[in-house]
Amino acid sequence: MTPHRQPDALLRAARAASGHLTALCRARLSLAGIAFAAMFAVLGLRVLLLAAPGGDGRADVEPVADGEPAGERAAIVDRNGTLLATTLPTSSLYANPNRVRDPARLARRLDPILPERDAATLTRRLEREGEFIWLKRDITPRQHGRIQALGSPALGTREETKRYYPQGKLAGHLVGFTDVDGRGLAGVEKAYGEQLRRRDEPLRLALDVRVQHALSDELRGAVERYDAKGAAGVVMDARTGELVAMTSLPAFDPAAPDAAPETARFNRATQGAYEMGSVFKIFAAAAALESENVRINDRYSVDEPVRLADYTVRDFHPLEGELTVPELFMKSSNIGTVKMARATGAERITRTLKKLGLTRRAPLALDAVADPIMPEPWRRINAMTASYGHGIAVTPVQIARAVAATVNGGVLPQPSVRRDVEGDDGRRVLARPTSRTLRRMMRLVVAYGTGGKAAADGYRVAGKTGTADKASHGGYGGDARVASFAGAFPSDDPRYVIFTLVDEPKASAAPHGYATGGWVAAPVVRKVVERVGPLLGIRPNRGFTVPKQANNPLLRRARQKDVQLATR
Amino acid sequence: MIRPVVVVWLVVAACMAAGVYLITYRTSQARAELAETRTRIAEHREALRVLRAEWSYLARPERIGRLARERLNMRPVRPGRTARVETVPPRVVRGMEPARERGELTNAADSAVLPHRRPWSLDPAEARGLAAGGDA
Repeated sequence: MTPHRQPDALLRAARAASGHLTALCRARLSLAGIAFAAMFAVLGLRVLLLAAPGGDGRADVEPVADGEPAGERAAIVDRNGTLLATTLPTSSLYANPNRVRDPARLARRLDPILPERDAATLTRRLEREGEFIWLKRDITPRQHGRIQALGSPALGTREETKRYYPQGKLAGHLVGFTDVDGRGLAGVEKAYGEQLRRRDEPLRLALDVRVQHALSDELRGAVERYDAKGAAGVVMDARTGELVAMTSLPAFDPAAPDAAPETARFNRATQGAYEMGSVFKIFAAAAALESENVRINDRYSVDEPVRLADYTVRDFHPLEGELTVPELFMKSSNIGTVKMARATGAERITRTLKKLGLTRRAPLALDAVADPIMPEPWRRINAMTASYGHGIAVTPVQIARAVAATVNGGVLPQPSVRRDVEGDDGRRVLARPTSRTLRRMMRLVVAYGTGGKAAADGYRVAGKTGTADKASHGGYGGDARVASFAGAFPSDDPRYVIFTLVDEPKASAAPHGYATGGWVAAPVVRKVVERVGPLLGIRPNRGFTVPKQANNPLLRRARQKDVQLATR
Repeated sequence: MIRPVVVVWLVVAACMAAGVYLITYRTSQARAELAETRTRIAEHREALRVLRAEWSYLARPERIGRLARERLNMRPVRPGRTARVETVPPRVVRGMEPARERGELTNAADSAVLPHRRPWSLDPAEARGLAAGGDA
């Protein structure tokens, strides 16, 4: 007896219907069977095709590309792709003090492996409570091996990355450095830290390691020879403003920035604001020639010192007679320059200095860039003293940029550290003819004037010497000087501007006791030009001759006037 | 009683099972191979980085300059010692291809030119031939 007995009526009806019901079920079942068979056939065929011994076993799946694993700080390279900074794997040694049974014994065993850690300090560190202490970051593979051979359960190593600078001291100031955890602390490493973290490809700088080496090498020679405190140098592309070389001495090794004194980490090329002396006469002359008040053959008497408010302006070497603008520029007469500046007008000179970017900080992406030092408020007298480079202190990068604008046809370039970004074209700040005349006047300085020591073999160099007494204790005086030379080559169509500066050369070490720009800084420019000219692909002009001074067009015109005056 | 259809189905199922097993096996093999290759690529990349750094370190201008001076008695190139390729007379020497014959050199006025083969030889006969080459 089942509790659910079907009612008789229903049973009867079911029997009656069972004939065609069965047929329906069969039809449905076979339909499902065929469907399943078809699906299984497809699957089976696929399995057979894939697994068959003759099959290639390959499915048509999109291949997954696995790129370089991200997260590594990108490398920094120079304009030719030479590595300046890269990230390398390294190991770091840690200890678990809780597992150390005999700290003194372990420290004694570690002592010969880690020569820069003494046993007493190690013992003290291992005696502390804790789970984890770093014993030494960045150990060598050999140290790693010896530590593993110790087999101490309390010691362990961790794979880390480390920033490595193959060029060492060569470009330390520009490239900068990072801390042990890979955060940029100075230079390009800091300025482009965020980009370096995200980039896959290396960051390309405008720097050329070969030029940088030549510049550093020659400047180091000058520092040693004249027992100077330091030096700075800049090589800039005259058209684009790219910094092809930038040196500051003394240098430091970015791998061990803490080992260097603060003075060595100071980048004189961008942070050092110096009174440049006569180099500024370039800009005073540019202002004068741009104004309607001064003609190139105007004459200024240089016999008597000039009084400017409460100082007297004298010449370094007393000169006599009346000099034209090119002559006073060539002989670097302060008296003549002040008279020319007076004729030009203070406002005009101030405006030109401003247009040449000498009154504002150089627009570089780096952190360590100094503002120029200028008197506040800026008076008429300040424009007069600025005409021969006193009372205004600017950085070497500013000077290089302003000289680039003066010689390249009059367009102020945007100084740049990087190669792989397009800068803007720069603004026109001087008229083309002014720039051409100044190029010729700067050529006179090297051919016949104070910059004769910058005359290079095979290249026409144009430039201007500068010697400035360093202000100390509120006044000028003593032997502390800054000798500089701002040059450009080749002088008929300058491609590169070279600025060198030697800080406090000793007069006693200099020939004839002259620690001046002409004797100290100009020879550096000559040597650098001779070394880098062929490297930079500038064809040397062999066997060019310097015409006799009397035949130079800029000077001859002056002489003809003399003759005219005499015959009148 | 077992119907033939069932037999067929059983055989098919067995074949598929075997096939699926084979594919799974091969896949895991390929996966292991892929992982190994990826590890090797990473290792090679790392080695490449280390070697590049080492290359840069060893090719420092300061070091190359010092070695060239000390070992090879060389000095920095002076402007007076450079010349344009076109001004160099073609070298006619037996058994040596002249550098000028290579097309790309004629328009590379600014680049340094390396002769196709070195213009010197340790072989005494050839060295003599080189010395006399100008006249031949």
